[in-house]
Amino acid sequence: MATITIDEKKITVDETTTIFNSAKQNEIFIPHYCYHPGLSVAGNCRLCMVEIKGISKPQISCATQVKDGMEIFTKSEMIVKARISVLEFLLLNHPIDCPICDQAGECKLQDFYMDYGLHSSRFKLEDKIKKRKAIDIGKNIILDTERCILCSRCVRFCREISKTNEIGIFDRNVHSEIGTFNETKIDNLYSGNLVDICPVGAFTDKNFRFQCRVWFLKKGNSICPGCSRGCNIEIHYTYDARCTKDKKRIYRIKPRFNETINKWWICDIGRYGFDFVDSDTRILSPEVRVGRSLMAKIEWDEALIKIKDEFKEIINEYGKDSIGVLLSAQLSNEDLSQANELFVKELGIKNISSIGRYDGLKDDFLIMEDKNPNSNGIKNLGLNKIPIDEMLKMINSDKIKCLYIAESNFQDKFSEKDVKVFSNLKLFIYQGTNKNFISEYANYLLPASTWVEYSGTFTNFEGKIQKFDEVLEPLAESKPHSQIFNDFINK
Amino acid sequence: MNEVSALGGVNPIGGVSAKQIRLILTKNIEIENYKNIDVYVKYGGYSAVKKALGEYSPEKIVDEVKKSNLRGRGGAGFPTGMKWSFVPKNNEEKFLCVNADEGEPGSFKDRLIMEKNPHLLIEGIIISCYAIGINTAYVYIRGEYLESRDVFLKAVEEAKAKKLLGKNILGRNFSLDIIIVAGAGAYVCGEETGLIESIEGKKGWPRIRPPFPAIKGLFQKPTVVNNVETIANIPWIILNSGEKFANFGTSKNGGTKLYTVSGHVKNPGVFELPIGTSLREIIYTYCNGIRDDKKLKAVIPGGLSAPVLKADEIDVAMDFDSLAKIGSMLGSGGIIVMDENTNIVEVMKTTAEFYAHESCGQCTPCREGTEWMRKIIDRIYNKSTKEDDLNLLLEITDNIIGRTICPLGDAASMPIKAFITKFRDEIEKWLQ
Repeated sequence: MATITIDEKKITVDETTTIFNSAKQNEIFIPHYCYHPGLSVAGNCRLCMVEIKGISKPQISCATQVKDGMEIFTKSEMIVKARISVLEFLLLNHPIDCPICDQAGECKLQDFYMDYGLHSSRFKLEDKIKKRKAIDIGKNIILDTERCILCSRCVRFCREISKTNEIGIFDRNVHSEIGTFNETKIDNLYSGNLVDICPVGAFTDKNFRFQCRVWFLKKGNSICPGCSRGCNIEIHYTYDARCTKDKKRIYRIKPRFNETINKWWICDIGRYGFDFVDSDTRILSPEVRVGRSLMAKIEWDEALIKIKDEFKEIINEYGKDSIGVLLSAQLSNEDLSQANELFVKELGIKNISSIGRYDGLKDDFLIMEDKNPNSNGIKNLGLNKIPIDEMLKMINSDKIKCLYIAESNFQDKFSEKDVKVFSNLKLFIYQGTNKNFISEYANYLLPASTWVEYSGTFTNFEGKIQKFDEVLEPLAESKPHSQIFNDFINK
Repeated sequence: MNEVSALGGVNPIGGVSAKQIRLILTKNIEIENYKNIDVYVKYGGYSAVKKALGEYSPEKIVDEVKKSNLRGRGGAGFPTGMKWSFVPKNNEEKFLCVNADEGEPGSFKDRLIMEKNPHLLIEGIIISCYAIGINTAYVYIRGEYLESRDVFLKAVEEAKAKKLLGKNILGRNFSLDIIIVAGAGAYVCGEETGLIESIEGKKGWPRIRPPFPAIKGLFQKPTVVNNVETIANIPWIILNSGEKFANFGTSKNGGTKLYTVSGHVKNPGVFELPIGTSLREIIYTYCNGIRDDKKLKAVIPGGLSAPVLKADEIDVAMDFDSLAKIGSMLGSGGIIVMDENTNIVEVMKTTAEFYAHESCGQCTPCREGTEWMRKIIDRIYNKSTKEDDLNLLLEITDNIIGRTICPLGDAASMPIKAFITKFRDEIEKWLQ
């Protein structure tokens, strides 16, 4: 252990800790660019300099280990001036893109200039070096080399985290530029993290570019429903009319730090997989089939009563075993618990299967083969009573007369060929978030809320139960699955 | 102390210019084909290797080098024996990197050794590696030194053929391979960790320290990086003792030094003299004074990164400590002499252009600062600015010095600072 003082505050830390982390552990903030806790130390921005008693030159805190008795100053006159000098150097050739740069409002150059700089420019505009801008460098990101402060976080990310090594720094001295080797594109499944870690607007998200100013965005905590890992995420949304275009409420998804599950990162599939929430295909109200291709809107109460009645009829005529229930592994524990109450405990139905997404893509980093956030939820309640193939056989052989599907978003276990036979069902209730080729065959459509529109829990692949918050209001007349099941029980 | 008087230097392009006595590094180099191993051996070559491997333990050699007060000849002047002793004493694989990048403007001494006395360098490498426990030595030669590379490569092949390199040298349990690596035109690859990164096949970006190369260097193994001239002194130390080497110089600075003199002197060249010889003596005695008998205006004593000296500052001993005391540095001993007709502003311009071009771009102060200085000095040269820019330049140098990953930032800033401080009147007059 080492006892040191930082800004005259005495603290004790492990002697292998850096000055930067010792400060961080004690809520002392040191401005920095190139340092990132998830990446190796580069020590090139020089902004994190601190003054150490007995050493005439300032030292970078990110790479300097503490020594017992060290006296450190983060706000001395020397450091105040040193920070201004670094900011001055970085701003010399930095383009004044703020009015059109997505990063404005969460840009570390802006923030640290306001907190530590506030100096006037001494640089002549005609001396300014221009570099390549708005380069399409990958499927999700755009690179602006002129804005880049060459902190090398992106280079280290591609080397150490995605391990795809696409990015290098080319050329020398002040003409150094971020780029890819042989003009290849950044094609890995973690490219969106580059936008997170870039302190400035050098990397911007194609998906988010020019969409919304960040100060209009609100944040909510959630869990990614993209696979069984359950990475922790933040939903960034707004209802502000100045931003919302085409009914869009969610503007982007960002990672939320979790020490064991996903650290600082998420994959691109989860990051960009929220279009369905405000898509035109959302089911907005209960609907009933009135013609071959015609559905009519009905009220919830009417829907619930009608469905219950038709259910009773089928049970009376064909028995309980003629009912098939498919529950998606994308439903929350609370949804599944209520489904259990309704279908198993109250109605005594045996033919229940679980469905979900299983596209098989996985890697040795974050992406799991099981593409459903709550397979363990299904397992723990024993709701996969018969395998799905058996269920499909029973539907094909007309043993199942009535099918109830409850799912979120779209699952790919069935092909278009499989579901043709659904047209033979006496009763098909589709309770879901979006219309799709399966819901085309339904007699009743019940609008379910997407996971961001209600709170609940998922149990991830390791058995961790994680809560996701209600971030958005349920769209139109949609309700959480648990609510719908509950209404069936109580009506 | 002056056992030697070497009149006239060695013109590396044209050959010798006057009769003289050569001592440690330039001994015998006028002998025809001295770079051939048979000639070298005929005149006593490789006897140091035989003595070192036959009579000395590795520890004793390190001790001898410490006693010699040999300080790094690449520019930093770090005590060589001490540097060697930082390497952990275990059986871990270790490396020697011989720095033959010679990037410092004004310095052309290492090429002399490689082209005219390559076997001396090989001898030094063998003894050094034996002393530190190294089996692979890399010699990093700057890309532009084509002849050095060819001559040295041939010499290595000759040494291998005579079993002075390879397995079990001289029948002892010591093996050594020398690998030559060519640079590709970057000054920053002469910085020790820039050099290491370059040998590893990467961009020559210097590393943050700690860890130092002695602990984690080439391929993350303990590494010693030494300049060509430094290593070339080792054989003489073995044959004559560290103490005798120390006696050549001044306190804490041992041996002789290769002073390269260029610029406005009658007799430019490479001069081997006892370290600590006075600068005035070098210029007026050995170089025969200023050409056309003009007046002296300024001297850069140790390569372009050494702060300039005015004409009244040349009564200084050319060793590491004496020059440091007056605010300059011995560096690589690259002396650039400027007469009264020199435009100091033009000198500043060339200096600033060099460092702005060579900055690797890794860290903020050097990358942005060197280019900014270049632009300002360009404006000063074109007389399109006011004197305020001089104060701005001084501030920029203060914001770079000591705040960078490697000393290139210092090297770029200290000369500019010195020019402005010592020749401010001339610069302000130029601007009027």
